[in-house]
Amino acid sequence: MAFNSLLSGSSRYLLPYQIYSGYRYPFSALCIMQQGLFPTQTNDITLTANPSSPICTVCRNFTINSGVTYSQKYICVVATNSITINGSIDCSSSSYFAFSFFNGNVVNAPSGIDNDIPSGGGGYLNIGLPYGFGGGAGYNKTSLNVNPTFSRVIYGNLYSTGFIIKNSVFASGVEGGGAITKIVGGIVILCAPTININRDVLAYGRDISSTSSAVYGNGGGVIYLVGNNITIGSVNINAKGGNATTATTYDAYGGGGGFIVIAATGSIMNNATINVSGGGASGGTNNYMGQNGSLIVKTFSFYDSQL
Amino acid sequence: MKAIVDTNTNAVVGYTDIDEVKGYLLVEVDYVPSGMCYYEDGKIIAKTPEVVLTKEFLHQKRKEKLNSLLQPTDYVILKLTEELTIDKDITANKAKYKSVLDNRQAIRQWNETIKQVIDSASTQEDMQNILNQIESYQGS
Repeated sequence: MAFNSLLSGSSRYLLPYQIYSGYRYPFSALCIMQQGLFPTQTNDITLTANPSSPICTVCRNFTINSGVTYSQKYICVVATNSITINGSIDCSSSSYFAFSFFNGNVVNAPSGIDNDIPSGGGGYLNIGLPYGFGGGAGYNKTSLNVNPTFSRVIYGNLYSTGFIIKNSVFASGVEGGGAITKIVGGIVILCAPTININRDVLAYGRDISSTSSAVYGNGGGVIYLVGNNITIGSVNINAKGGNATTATTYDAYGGGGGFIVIAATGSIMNNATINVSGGGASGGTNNYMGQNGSLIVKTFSFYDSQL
Repeated sequence: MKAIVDTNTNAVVGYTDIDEVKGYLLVEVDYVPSGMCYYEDGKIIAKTPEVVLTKEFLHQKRKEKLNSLLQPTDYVILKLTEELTIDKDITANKAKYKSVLDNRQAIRQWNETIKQVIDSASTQEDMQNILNQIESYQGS
């Protein structure tokens, strides 16, 4: 089913606010921009330093200046003209989190989120399973939701579950265990007609180690780059799962890889080194690598009936 | 459409329609592979994850859980033992730490029980249930 067929009417009508918020937010925002229905934005935002709290915003042009490292647990920017990343983005968190982003607002994800959401990879906690498209933690924590079809990424389970909110939830990686520092990959959502990425965009689970217990790696995060024309320089786009290292009397379990989608309706110029690998595992009696996450790099059209 | 293959693991990590994704092998496919897929002998093969739990693994998880639950209160045992070595009357401290000692006993009882359950498990389903029990147990 084509995206526009939902907009132009089907047997199950959606109200305008549902169209706007019901699908994965960056895709719905871009679609509505292309239709000329997105609210006109006049403000430009330029970051000259790392902000004191995470950003979720709507604007006309968004820029991170050279030399700035944006370091928060998430960033969600929808710009009606362009996004230019000249400084780096490094999103991570000390624990798992799930949010719904919409039009500059952020809410905590409700309980009951399902397997059909953009999520990072799994650590060992929460039984190690990511809720969505990221990879699972090492050993028997395999995700069944890796490599989602593109239609699943855009639509989610809207028609099968009826819970619209689920389709706009984004989740970080899941934290691991056994070591003191547990840093999971965060969430990066960038949506604009023109996106230029000139520095690293990172949302990977950090490596952890302990010599006094088994170690479970941190899950990788989520990165969305959605636009008409996306240009990425020789940089790193990284949502990898964290490596786990322990001593010979214990086991090591890598964190699950995260989820990256780079999708454009026009062109993608890609020179990046992209990473959604599961975390490595070493030093232990048994070493179980984390499961790889999911990666989509794709041009598409909202009017494609084959989506 | 091309499948994106991680050359370290041969796992398909996604798909693309651009010409190059640095660090990955791109393999032309007729359809979008979904779920767990691997690149083998020039082809993309879908695989259902097959995880085999073993009794050895479950015993290891049991021991890890036992240690993690007992370790925070080890100091109580150490303290009482030290007092015994200098012939000190530990009656008062036994009473003081009764709830800790009871909890440790409950954990040890659970450990003995789960040990037998593991040894008598006969199916993967049994073992998965046991693993879930071990992971969710937090003491009495």
